[in-house]
Amino acid sequence: MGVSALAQPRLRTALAMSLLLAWNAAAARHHLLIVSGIGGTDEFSQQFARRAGSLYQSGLDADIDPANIHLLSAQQVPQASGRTRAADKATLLRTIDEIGASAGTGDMVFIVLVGHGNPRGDGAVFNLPGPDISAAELAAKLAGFTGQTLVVVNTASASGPFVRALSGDNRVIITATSSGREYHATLFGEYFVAALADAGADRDKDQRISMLEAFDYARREVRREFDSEKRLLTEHALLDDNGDGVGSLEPGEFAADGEVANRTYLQQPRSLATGADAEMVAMLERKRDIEIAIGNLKKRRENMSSNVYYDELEVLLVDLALLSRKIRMLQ
Amino acid sequence: MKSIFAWVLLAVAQLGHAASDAQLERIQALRLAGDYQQAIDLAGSELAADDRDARLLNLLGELRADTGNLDAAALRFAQAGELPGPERLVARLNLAELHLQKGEREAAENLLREIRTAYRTQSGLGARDLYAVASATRHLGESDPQLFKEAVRLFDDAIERDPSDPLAGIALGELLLEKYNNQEALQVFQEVLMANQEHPLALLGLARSQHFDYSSDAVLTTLGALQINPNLVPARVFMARLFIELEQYDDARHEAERALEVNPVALEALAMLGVIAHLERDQAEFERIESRILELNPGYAGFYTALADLASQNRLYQDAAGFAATAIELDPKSWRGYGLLGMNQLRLGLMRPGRANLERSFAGDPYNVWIKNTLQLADSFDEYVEIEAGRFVVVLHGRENALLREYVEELAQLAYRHFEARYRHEPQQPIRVELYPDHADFSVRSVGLAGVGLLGVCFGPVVAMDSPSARERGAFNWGSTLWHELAHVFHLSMTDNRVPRWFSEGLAVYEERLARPGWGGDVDPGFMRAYLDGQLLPVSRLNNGFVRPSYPEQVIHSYYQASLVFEFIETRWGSEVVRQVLNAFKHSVDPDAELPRALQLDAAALDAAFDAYLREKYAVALAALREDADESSGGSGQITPETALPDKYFDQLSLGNTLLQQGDLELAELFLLKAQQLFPQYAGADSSYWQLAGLYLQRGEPAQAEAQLEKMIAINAEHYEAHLLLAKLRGERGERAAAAAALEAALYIYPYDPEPHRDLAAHLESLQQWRKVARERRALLALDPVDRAEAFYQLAYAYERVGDRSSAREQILYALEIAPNFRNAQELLLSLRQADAAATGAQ
Repeated sequence: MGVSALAQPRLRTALAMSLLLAWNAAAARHHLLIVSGIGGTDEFSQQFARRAGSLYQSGLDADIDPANIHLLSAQQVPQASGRTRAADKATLLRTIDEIGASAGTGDMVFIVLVGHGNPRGDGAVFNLPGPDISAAELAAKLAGFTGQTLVVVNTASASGPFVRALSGDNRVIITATSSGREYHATLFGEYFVAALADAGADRDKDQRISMLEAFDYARREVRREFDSEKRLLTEHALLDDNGDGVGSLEPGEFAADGEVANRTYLQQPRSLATGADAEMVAMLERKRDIEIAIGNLKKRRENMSSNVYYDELEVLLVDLALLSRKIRMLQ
Repeated sequence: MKSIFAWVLLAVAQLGHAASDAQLERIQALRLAGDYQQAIDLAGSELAADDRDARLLNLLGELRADTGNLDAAALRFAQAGELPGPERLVARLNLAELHLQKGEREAAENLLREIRTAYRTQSGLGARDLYAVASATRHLGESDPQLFKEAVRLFDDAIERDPSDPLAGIALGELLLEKYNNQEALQVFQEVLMANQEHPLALLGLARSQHFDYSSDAVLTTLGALQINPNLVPARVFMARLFIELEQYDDARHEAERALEVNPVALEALAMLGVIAHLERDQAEFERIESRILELNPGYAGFYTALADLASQNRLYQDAAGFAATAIELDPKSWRGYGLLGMNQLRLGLMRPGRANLERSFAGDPYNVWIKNTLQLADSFDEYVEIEAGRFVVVLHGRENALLREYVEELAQLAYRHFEARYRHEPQQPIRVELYPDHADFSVRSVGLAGVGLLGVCFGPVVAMDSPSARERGAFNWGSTLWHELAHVFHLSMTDNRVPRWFSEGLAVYEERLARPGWGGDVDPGFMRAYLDGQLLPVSRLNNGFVRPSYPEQVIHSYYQASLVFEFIETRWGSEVVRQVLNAFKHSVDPDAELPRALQLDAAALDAAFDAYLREKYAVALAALREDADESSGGSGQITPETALPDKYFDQLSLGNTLLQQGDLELAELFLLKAQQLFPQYAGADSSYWQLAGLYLQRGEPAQAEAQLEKMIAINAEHYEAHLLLAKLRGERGERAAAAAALEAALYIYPYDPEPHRDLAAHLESLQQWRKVARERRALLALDPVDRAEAFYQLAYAYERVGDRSSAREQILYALEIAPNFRNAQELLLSLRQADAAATGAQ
């Protein structure tokens, strides 16, 4: 006796659901720690508060659980009224401990520093009310995050030394400057924060902003602003995600740095639409296969003639487009 | 007895020697004052007493040379050169220089080498000897440029040996100036003058240094030198040159002739007469002078380099290149000749031969900063792209080509069609248009040195200008600059480059104003003040405002003032008279007379009529800006509503601004509007228009703000933010075409911001102007946006709408290559394939 006609759709759905659950089980939780340091002047204080608020909102828009968003600020941040803690060193270290205690294996931890920095010794510090925190101290505190993907973005001046101090496996380290000698207040932070809220930064149109996309957006806009004022560039942002302690000025998907950042998103992964059946799952798998084939073709591009490359690419893109259309119709 | 006799002999000898020193000084003083004959007579009578005084012999020889009696000079130098002592080397030098003056190069070089040999073999050389050795080394540097460095060192040694003798310092200054090292030259001349305030040659050196920096002080300083020595031939020659640059040929001729009265064989003075004859188109006189010069010195390339130099300063670049080529024929070591030939060939667009000649010049004289800079620039030409665009060759830097090309080509073609119709003339083609993203490069291209304060230059068939990226955002309007320079192309072509400078500049600025409201410069309070202070020049002397400004802003004021002259002319006489005058310049022997003749007004009447026009045009503004002694706006300087004078522009503006800052918008509006009534023609960034626009926006009155911005940019087309704001306000009202117009105008100021291109594309889309949409989308891509996938997609979409499916498909693949899941791009790709399939099926 076979499965009843009624049971069959249920069986397909159950199978799909199990696959989906497996998919969701892989979806990590995201934690966001925003630290807005001491401003020094009203102008900077307002600027930092604004950036911190924008990041906080970006975190919410990225579907991060509000309980997993931590805002430490030396200023009032209207968007997070009632949820802001002091930005002193002790609180910062304590908050990192809290995140460490709650973060599970495979989670993503984002730490964004907004404020001023300055060189100290052969390293650098980030300025907080009271004692500052050095790159070495932060590195020591984060040493225990071995099961998580760690993203640290230091938008402060003189932040370059944080790359070497924090670099490691499964880590994306972004700094606004390439060295401690670049000590002017940076523009990078403004544009990095803006990138997370601007669909224009979504280069590959996958509805998410990766850390690489945000970095690239900010880097380009900083350069554009300096160029328009005919000023020499006094800040050079870096990104390191291959653990070698050396950041790249122009990371890329296929460059020494950038591969991990390219698939690291603030966006909390969502579950797929419920009710997806085996046909849908198969289409999604086929879609994934085409995307991988496109990626592989792009890697081979250098060894191909332009005409052949684009002819093959078009075939894949058409397949992908037709499949995507079908998926959208069925959703 | 013997010892007494010896003592008496010694005393007599010393007595004779002491008398000769005082007389020597007197002769030198007479010489410095230009009393050459008296000095010669005195020297002659002294020599009668002692014909073995080498110093006296040299001095007499120099006096003879000063007055053109070269044979007599040579005799005395030869005599001095035979005598032992410190004057020997100077005498050899003097003789060598005489040989050079007569074109007897071999004889000269033999003597010069002898002097250098003496330097190497003799010890205990004094300052005069070192001076002689340094000068000889300098002359020999023409064949071996490494010797120039040694010459500098030797001059320094001579100065150190005897700081009281000015000759070494003056010669050093001249050498540095010759090598375009004006900063050090100036320092040296000033040091000489500190010790010898009234040395005419030092003053002349200073004047040349000032001239190098385009300072009007050069004239006064030269006059100062002539006041001390009215017969100083080099100073007369220099004055002649200055007058030539001012296009005052009669005055220039007078100076040259004065020089020849003193020294009838002064080659440089004859050269100036030859230049004047050429510029006045008196071929017979030119040939006469040329023959005379070549008779005196058959190898005198200096005549032709002077011709080349001054011809190019008068924009006769073709003539200049020809003269420079002749200089080289006469003297294959005329490095200056090669340099002038190369520079002028570059100006004529002959890039390859131009560069080759510059390299020859530099090989012979590697200290020429002018040539070195130009060659360094030429090395960078590989970074530029040359685009053949019909009548034009557009030359853009590789990193800007994709963005600027279409805008430059479009505007250039538009300008050409406009000027061709207006002037009924077609200039030589192609016309080369070069845009430089580095202002220093443009500066070198223009004058050979960095730091020139121009935006663009026209050499006839070649236009060079700053790219909009050469300056800060909003610093200038590149569109109006290009239009201006292309107007010059026509003016120069119609007149064979013989249009007076003020005429061409004024007309070009006026052309800008005719092309677009807001282009073509604006009147400002500074201009009005200059008029009130009597600083503006009459029309008949307007050229001086360009060539020898007497105050820092005079050049800018002269540009604007000259444009008003054409506004005046066309208002009263129409535009045809301007075209007639341009055509008349081509063959005219008296260009200054052409305009008065065409207008049937003499120069004085024209000056008066134009002045009346200005006074009438700006009557209200002049009254509002005039500062009367018996009026005050409050002793403390604080202007209040009670103390502000109702008919004074600055009072009203200042108070309006203060009230605006304080937040009293109602009252601020009253005063700012009043200021506008008093000086409606001024629309600068600090004018009432911009302030009122901001005020109305604060009050939530966008229509009023818009009206202010429209009035503002109709006068001032350089205010970038005003254009963008106007576009935004118009767009918010749904006036897409008007918004697009404001944005297109903004791009002529600064095309490097993506937002205006994006907004413009959106407006043009709504107006279905797809070709222009495609242009904007291409521009956006050229700006290397972060979201390249979106930019490619938008361009693909525009191509599709234009009907260019092939280009659309190419761009959409680029978009999807970056973002394979880009939904809109996917749909467009499928749509294009479907359309292609349908077209194929239909076939």
